[in-house]
Amino acid sequence: MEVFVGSLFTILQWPTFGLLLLGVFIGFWVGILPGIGGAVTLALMLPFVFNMQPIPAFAFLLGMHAVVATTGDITSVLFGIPGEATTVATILDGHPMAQKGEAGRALGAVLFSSLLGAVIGAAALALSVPVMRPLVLAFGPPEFFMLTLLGLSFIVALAQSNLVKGFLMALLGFVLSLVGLDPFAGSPRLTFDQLYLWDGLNIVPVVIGLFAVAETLQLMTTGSAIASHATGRLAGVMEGVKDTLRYWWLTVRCSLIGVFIGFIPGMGGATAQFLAYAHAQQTSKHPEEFGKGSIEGVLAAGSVNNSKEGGTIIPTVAFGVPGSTSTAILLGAFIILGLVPGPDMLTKHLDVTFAMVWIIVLSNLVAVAVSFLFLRQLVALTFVKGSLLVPFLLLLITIGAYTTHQSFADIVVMLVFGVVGWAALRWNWPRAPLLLAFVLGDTSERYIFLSHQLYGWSWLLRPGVIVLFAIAVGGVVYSVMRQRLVLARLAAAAEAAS
Amino acid sequence: MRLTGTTIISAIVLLAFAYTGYEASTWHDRSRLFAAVLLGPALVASVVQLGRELRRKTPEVTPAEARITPGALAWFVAFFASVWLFGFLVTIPAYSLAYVRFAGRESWLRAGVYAVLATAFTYVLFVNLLKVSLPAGALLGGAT
Repeated sequence: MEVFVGSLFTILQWPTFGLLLLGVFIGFWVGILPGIGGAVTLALMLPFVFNMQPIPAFAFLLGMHAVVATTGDITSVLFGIPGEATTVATILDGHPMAQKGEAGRALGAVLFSSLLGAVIGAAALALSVPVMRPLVLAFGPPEFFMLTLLGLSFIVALAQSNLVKGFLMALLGFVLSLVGLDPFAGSPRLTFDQLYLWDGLNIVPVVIGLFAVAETLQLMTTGSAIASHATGRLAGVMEGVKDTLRYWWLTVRCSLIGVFIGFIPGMGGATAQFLAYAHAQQTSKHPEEFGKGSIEGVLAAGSVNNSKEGGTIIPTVAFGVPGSTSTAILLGAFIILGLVPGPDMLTKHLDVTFAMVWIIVLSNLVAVAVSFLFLRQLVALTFVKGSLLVPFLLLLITIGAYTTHQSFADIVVMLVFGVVGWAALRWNWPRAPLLLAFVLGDTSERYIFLSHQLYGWSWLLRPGVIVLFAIAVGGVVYSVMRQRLVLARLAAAAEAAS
Repeated sequence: MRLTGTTIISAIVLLAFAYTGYEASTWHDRSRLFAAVLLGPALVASVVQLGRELRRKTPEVTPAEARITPGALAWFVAFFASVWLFGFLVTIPAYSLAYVRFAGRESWLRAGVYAVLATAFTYVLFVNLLKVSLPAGALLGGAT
């Protein structure tokens, strides 16, 4: 309890709180402006935390990340354009409400339910610590290795029709993590006689290349303004807040769905939103109103959005297994800051874990308060032309990569991975498994090495290892079966139609 | 048999794993433990993937977010070429001015204000506050 309260005071100190506000400010823009993803921005901001202490660094990064989905809902409601991929379900009822002249009520509901969702997600993260601690401390290197594989299998399974491609990208990510001086014998591996590669590939140019380059090129291709039509009336915001309190039990239930889905690596925010939306429709007294401007639909989508953040952070902190692309990048921040996710985060660095809880709550409080105060001005931001963002983004991605070693070689690495990222996008090779495996590569190698040193190959027969392996295989098999079932149904439907 | 982009990528992936296997054979036992665990499944999966692509009859659809116009690509390449040749502090004002004026079709005044703000932002944040030493380009004797 002392650590829990102490971490709040640490965040409220200067410059940590200032960095949190800066992160919230950037997250605001990113959430509102479609075309700049939360994961991309997180990647762009990684170089800035090199010289920071862990809590100020997470105040900046997590503060930014935590509000992206909150403000992403604003454009979903007003223009039917999701600010983020994870705010798509908000459009289904939020935008019809805006079209009916109830934009203010929809925004009030979605923003306030987002705030409550964030608080519930953060509470789940805090409450998970005593539960997770004995579990994590009972695990040895073999179980941790299997956990990394389990997390990876969920991400690979998400590739659906491209399962083999997802699997290959994950293995490629592991191979890329081998580049550099080997940590056990000190001999160079895959360095092609380049001194630059002795340190290994740094996560910053790799992440920026894989994600930001393709997105910037896309913005350069489209170049148009994000929104082009009027927003209508913005009155009735307080009515939306009251709606959230009126349907408080729905908000709580959908928030808990978000926490649960977030906890499962690879399930993704969009999945969580649609699951909560479907749950709200199933339990509603007026399911026929869904899709036409139902306030319950808006509340479900809003509350789940932020509660999943607490959920995704639990496996990242406790096991070093990120639940999403964004948390995989956040795991990169752990590495940069010299923190090792796992038992240490629940014992030695418990203050950092609890600080994360407070950061999620405080950043959302600030974001929602500012959204309510400056709603009309924020809407104006969406009329910024894409072409005005391009030079700024190019500047950030280039200098962001360059600052890794202050060398042009960093920019070359970024461009190489930019080509890889674009080619992967163009020919449907999933990028997330490559990134996740690259991030987890060092840890996985260390765990497999320790397992082999301690138990020989008999570690493969440990009960925990067998159970985790069965879950991983079961997850992939289930995904394949489900995909085949869908294809069979589609084929049957096409045959019936013809 | 179709030689498409994804077939070429599958072949490159297979070659990358084969090369890693060849390299790993020269490493110390401890160094190659992880690689040895990975490469068996990697080689099998990449052969399966290449076989699938060679047998594929229908081409894959290009996702909208992967479409790039030649103009966009030219602007992109120009930025990095300029950073390499002239360095950041020349490229940022010049490129911002040119891009906003010609690609964004804004007025000279707006483009000029944008260029000044972008340069000031770079200088204040990166040079002054973060002490990043931004190099002059290859033509100005600064690229490393």
